[in-house]
Amino acid sequence: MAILAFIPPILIGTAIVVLVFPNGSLKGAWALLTVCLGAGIGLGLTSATIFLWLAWIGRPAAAYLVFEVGGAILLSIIAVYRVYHYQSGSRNALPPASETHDVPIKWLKRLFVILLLITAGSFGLKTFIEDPLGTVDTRIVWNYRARWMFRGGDQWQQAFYTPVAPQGELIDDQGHAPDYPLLITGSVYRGWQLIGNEQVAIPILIAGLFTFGTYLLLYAALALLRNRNQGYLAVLFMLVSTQFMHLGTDQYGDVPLAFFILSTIALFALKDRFPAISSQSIILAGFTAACAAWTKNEGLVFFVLIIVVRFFGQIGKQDWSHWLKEFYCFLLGTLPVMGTLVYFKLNFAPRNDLVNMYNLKHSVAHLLNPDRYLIVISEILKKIYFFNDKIVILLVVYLLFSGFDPSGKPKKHLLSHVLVLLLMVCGYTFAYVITTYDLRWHIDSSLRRLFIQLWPAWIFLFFYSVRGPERSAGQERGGVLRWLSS
Amino acid sequence: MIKEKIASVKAYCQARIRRYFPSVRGAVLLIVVPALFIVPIYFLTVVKEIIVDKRFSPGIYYEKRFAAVRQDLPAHASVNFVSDQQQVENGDFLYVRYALIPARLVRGLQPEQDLLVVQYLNTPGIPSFNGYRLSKDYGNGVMLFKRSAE
Repeated sequence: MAILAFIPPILIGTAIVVLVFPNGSLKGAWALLTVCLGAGIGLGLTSATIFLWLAWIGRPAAAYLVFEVGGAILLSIIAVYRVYHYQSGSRNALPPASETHDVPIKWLKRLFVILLLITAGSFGLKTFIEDPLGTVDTRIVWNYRARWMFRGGDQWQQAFYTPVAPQGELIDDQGHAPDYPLLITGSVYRGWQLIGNEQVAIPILIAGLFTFGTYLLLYAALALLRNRNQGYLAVLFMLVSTQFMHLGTDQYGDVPLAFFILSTIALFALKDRFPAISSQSIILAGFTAACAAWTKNEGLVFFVLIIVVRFFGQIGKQDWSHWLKEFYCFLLGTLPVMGTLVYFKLNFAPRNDLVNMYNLKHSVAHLLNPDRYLIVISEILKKIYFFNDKIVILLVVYLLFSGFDPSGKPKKHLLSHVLVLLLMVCGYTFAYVITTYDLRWHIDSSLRRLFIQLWPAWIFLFFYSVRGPERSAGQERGGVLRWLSS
Repeated sequence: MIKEKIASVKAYCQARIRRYFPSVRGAVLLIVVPALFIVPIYFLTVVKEIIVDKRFSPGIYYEKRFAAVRQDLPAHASVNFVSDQQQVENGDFLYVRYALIPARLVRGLQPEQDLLVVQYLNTPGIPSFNGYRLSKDYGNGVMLFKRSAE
């Protein structure tokens, strides 16, 4: 029953992706990319829709179900018609996934499937049996608010209530992070509302969708941009990073955010690689960047950085009409979800616990304290080194043996993606510097999760730029090692 | 001499790798081998946690224990909450607060509300609270008190 609640959002999202990408082949990696992006975008849109319905019309009942299912069917019919129209026309299909080396290595493919299934088993056991309610964040943020929306009757807005003491400090006994956006909360509430009871399967399936959606999206994006073997290898590396899966089973919001950050960066990489689908990719990137902002406040920082780096950073490098067209496409994609986010922030969300007028004096004082920068930067470097049992060493050693892809095709705009991710880390640094919480506690309790938000995107960029797994003439010794020994 | 030894070991390793993995570069094994071990070991660890260690989150127990008292609480009422599980730190309060939505839980006895939910798991007998009388004992250490009329 719980699974049925996910059919409309996946249909809606997939139909939107197909409508935007009608020339996309609905086979193989393109199909996987379409469904993964569609699932994420669909959940983003339906969580926004149900929140607006609750705020404007009242408790969603049969009319909402008709509206959502009807919308899904209508969009699907239009999408099918558009694909048929495109295929029967003379317009060209998308370029093939990759020009070279796209012969899958069979044992690598089998290993990929088997290990992914084993990981799915671990996920199922951990979530459905060991800890169905998830970790503390679900009880104090995501599902806490969803439960208020579901059980709260006409007082559902208690979900966003945070009492403030006379001195301005937040009181711990009520909602935590009540200003956080509503993608996860709204999706959980939507599932419960549609099936009529609070099944634990709903938040678990949402967590599973984003966790495994990230693996599959990583594979699909790399299969299209490089080749399938590179996709298998990248996912195997993600499976070795067990912290990601672990956080997924804990139902943290960082995994969905990681999914949307990866989606946005992969779509921009597709745009750079295949200019023929530039506008379509940017529209979808607008959708996914907005969904990132609709997931967590850190996603809002990502949203701003994407605009700064990918659009404002390009001013002067391309002609104005082209720039305006791209920016227009991006804004078009962001509109539905960002509009809802602005409405939520202006009308429902209380003040943020880090950035607010009460804390301004302390924040400025912290900002001018160089010791705090030293502590934060040293902790960040330390945590990067120790992250997931020092897995960074494995990446470095792999790079030393393997070297960068000699073709140079992935390099275009790669720096802009790296810049976005580095600026995100800078954003985290400033958030820690100005925090009014105990600095050590704040770092210890959250830094690992912040790394997870960016981890799949880093892995994507890494495997996008390094040499593929296939042996070929003249590639016996890896690039960097070869360079060192020459 | 050492250089030659290293070269021969390297050649031997390369030959082995080529024999078993003819289509891939050796560097790939840096990822494949850890994946081959870590993913199944993680799975077995989860199985062990469930079957041997019987490690389950307390969340479900809280939900079950407080399901009955939730039915008796007026919706949206503010309710005091006292527990002898303070060693669980915030966790105990947060579990109960989550289980009792849409009641608004007030930690401790201040400010005083008309209803008081008590969780005494390790304290024998019925506790007494000044100004409150026991309304219902739900078993499993969960009790509901109401403010006395006087």
